[in-house]
Amino acid sequence: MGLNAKNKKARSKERAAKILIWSAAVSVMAVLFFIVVYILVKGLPVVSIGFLTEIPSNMGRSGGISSTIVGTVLITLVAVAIAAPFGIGTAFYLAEYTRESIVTRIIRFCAESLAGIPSIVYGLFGFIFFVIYLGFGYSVLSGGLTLAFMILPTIIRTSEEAIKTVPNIYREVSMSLGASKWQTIYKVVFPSALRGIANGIVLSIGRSIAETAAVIYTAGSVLRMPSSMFSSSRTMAVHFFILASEGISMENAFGTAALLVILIFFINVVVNMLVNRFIAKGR
Amino acid sequence: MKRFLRFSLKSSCCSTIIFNMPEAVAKISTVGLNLHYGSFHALKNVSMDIYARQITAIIGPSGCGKSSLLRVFNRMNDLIPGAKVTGSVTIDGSDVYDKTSDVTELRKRVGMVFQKPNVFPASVYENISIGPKNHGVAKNEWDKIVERSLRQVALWDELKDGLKKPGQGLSLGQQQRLCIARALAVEPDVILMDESCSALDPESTMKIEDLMNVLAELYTIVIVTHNMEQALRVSDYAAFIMLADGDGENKAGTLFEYAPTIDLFSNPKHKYTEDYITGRFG
Repeated sequence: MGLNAKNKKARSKERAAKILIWSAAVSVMAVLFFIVVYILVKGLPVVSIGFLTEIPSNMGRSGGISSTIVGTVLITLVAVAIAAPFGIGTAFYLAEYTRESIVTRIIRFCAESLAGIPSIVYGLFGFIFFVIYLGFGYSVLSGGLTLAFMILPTIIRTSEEAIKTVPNIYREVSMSLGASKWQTIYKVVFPSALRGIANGIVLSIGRSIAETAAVIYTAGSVLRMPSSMFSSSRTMAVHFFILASEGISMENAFGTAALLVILIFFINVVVNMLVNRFIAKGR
Repeated sequence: MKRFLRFSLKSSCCSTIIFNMPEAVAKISTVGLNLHYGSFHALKNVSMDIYARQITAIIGPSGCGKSSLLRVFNRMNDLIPGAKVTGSVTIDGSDVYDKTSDVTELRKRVGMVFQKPNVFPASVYENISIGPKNHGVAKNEWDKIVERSLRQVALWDELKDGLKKPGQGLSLGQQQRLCIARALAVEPDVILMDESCSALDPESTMKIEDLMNVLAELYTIVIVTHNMEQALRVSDYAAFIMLADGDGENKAGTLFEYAPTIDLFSNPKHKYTEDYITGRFG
């Protein structure tokens, strides 16, 4: 066999691999594109100013979905506001303040186990603990707290990974300039890890917004505009679920779905912009 | 170099040699310094004086403890789990490893420049002002400090219009000078340079060496280098360290010879020194 023949074989293999990888990527894109376009095409015709600003009436057959948008935003805000500080704090503790030991292994094991629990179990826990035991009732607060527990592992895991990717030499340089450990973490490690941490938070926001099972048992499904942390509220995902599963209005269900997709997309863009601005300020 | 210096061996056994050059003022002194990383004896019985406003080069084969010795002076070894220092290390007479001494104060006085340029992912200005900011220097001083530090490393004219630009966008040579400026901004007395030219091209290396000579008028400089020519070009004193079987124990980094650079290179007292500087090993 000459040099040429070998070369030919390698080249055809190369070409086959390229086509295989390319088609995998394209099919993933196509599926994603199809889902989004399908939902938008079905849903967008329903969306109007009224749909955004009016409270649902007649079980959601008519009127808008404004109260469910407010409910979704409030519950997600409560969840992230509580889970982010604890999650990021735990991640810094694991990555910066301890060495691998039995304690860190226990914390990581707990976090990973929490991540694997089905969301309906969080719903049951939230119902028993927040709704009944602590007496918060079906409310924005109960829903938000339950979701906080649910997204905590994601935030811990992604933040820890982000902190670990910060080159160790940055820490050494900072210490060599006489910075304390806290100054090093706050001024050097945190800004460098911020993008990864923000990605984890966006992921958690997406999960909170999309969650149905855990909130239906903790925040309830009342269609009124929530007036406080203790009012029961229906999120967009729950609204979609009830509209579709009880056959109330498929059109409004798709309208809600379309808005959910747009909302998640919008949050992604806004968080990225905020991170870029923060980083640009530091440059 | 210019002045007359005496070099004396006080003891015959190499592990207890005390190197003594009394005419110059000692900035840092170590007496019977030992460094252990867990069970590894990294440095054994090192006693030496580092002289004020001189450039001292620490040379020796890879893994002999050169960098470890450098990191004893600003206690960077504290960050390594299992590192233990015994013996005494003093700077201007005060004990570096005393329980009451403050690591932050020490590192303000003993700056460090690392092997690779490691500019933070931030602006030139932020890179230099981070030290003073951490030490609570008033905000209206920062501009002055940034300008002074950049002038000291001869970067001011090149960078004065681009202080807000990312520091990582500079050339490698500029980045390393920026790192030196960052260390100077906290106003140290001593600058430790750990193979700070090894990642640079010859021209940038030359600029840094020129800079060392200028800085040595004001600062005490200790460098670790693998480059014999560099040690010969820039340093006033040279210390040769090598792993050795001391008294039949395990291998440990040992200070074999410490002398004015010219003497050490032209008239090495120890066979190992001669073999190393002439390139027979290392």
